Amino acid sequence: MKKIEKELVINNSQGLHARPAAIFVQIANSFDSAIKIEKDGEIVDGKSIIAILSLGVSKGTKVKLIAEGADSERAFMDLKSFLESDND
Amino acid sequence: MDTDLLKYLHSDSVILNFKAKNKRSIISSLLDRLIEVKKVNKNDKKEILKVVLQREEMGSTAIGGYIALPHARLSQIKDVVVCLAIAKKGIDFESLDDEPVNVIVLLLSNQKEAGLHLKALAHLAKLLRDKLFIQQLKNVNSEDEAMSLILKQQTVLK
Repeated sequence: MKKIEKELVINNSQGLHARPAAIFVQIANSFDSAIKIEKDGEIVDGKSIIAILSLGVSKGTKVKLIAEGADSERAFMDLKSFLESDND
Repeated sequence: MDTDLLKYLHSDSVILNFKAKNKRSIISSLLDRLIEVKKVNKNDKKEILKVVLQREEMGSTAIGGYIALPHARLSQIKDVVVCLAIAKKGIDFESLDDEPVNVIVLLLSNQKEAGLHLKALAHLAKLLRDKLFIQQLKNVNSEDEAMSLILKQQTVLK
């Protein structure tokens, strides 16, 4: 299993609120890999909207994106570009 | 999380045995209660209802796990206003997992309070992602029981 993890900065102007969290989960669910997000030492399931919301990620926050599985490379790239773009 | 839900949610804004037919009537009933307890101005209801429903159009805030978190930021709201409705029998809220919801929390924040709004949402998500807590909340028999259950859950999370 290939695991990719890297820190990145959230660029969505309103942070990871409910709508971007829902889109993130939608993208994450299109891959078989396990997806996780880590913020300040807390790791949550990247395929659960409520778990992502509970992190309260605002714009400019550093998080670690973790993808593990056969398609982790593609999953990581897609989710990274989503988190780093401002889609609000 | 330094946000305290009980700073914004008071027992007069907790509705038990909640029943409603659809999304519009759910939000409308919650707003009526907030008007009754003078946290929302009666004249603002139409506009707030419109904005909250527009937000729902972009994607349901019933994000799974039997809960819905309709929310909006509005110039008409001072700080943060919260209303909680509990429905023993689940209500349709066009949820993402197609399940009915038992717990609905309406969160309204001032337009300028983007940071506080996100913090409040995060805090709510932390409280409500616990399935056992949702079960317990669903079965409370009084508003005060709901309030003390939330207080207990907040203490556990701290």
